[in-house]
Amino acid sequence: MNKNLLENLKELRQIQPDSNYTTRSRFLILAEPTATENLPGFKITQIYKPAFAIGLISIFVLMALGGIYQIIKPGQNDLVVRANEINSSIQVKLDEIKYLIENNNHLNAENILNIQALLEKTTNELKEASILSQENKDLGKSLEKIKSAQEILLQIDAMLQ
Amino acid sequence: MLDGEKQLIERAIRGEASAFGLLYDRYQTQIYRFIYLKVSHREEAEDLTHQVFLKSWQTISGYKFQGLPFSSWLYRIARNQVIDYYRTKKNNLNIEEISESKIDDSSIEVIEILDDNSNVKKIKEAIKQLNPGHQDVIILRFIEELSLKETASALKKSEMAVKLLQHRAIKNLKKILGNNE
Repeated sequence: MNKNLLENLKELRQIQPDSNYTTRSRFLILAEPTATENLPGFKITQIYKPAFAIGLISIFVLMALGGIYQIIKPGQNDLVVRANEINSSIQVKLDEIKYLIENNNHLNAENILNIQALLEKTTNELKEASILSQENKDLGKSLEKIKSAQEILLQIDAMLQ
Repeated sequence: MLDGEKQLIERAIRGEASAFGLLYDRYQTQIYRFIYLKVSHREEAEDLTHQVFLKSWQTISGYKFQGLPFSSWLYRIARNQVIDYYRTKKNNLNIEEISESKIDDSSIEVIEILDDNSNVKKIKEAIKQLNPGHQDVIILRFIEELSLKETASALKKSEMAVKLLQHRAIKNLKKILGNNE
């Protein structure tokens, strides 16, 4: 075989995909559920997904607030109202963020990685809130964790605007 | 199969996104290159590569270990993706006619990278003029440097068939290069 031809063919290995495309594609693919996923009845340790934890964040919010509702004592109506407000606000923000991510073709690799990190942070805050409320621990602290998650989502929203 | 790959695949089959992410990192470039050399259009190659990995992630629970690299399975998906792409292409070009299509403007940035070596550029254009089967074997055997066994698995052919195909592919490639001079 012609040695030059072989060498020249090997040079075509220079062809590489664009790095922004690669980061974005990876992010979107890993956010998709596989056929093996089973969201109801999931284990907390399995759902630590770096991307698109949005559906799971919603579930955590419900778990955290569900715990709060269970231990509401008489005279704590303000807490119930506040919890409802936060829940609604987070749900709306999650839907907005999901729409913005899916329809934004200008996200660069750095933005995507930053959003990924913030989503992980949100998931962690809500995990902790969920544990605190379900163990009937400091209710105020649980609510603080949820508020913190809400603020992180606002940061993500600002990045996507 | 590469070291540690079996464990990685098993974790991905169980639904661990991070494990599949590592497989993505390992194989994405070569799958993209395979597709790009066949469609010669950067954005189309990106879309198709994305579809390959999305499909593989969504169906990985059906993956069967056969003692071959994970890439063989990915290449099969990629080949099918390219075939489907040409079938549904709006201008309904016959697959055999695609080899005569011109290079799209969006691929010019890649050609510029290769431009320092005009021979390489000529070879890239010549590959486009091969039929799909010959393109496959040239890319897998001589660019991605897969073994005969790996190539046979990726193309779902016997090793003997791949040997024959590779001989004809190189012969045709030289003929095209000779005609283009």
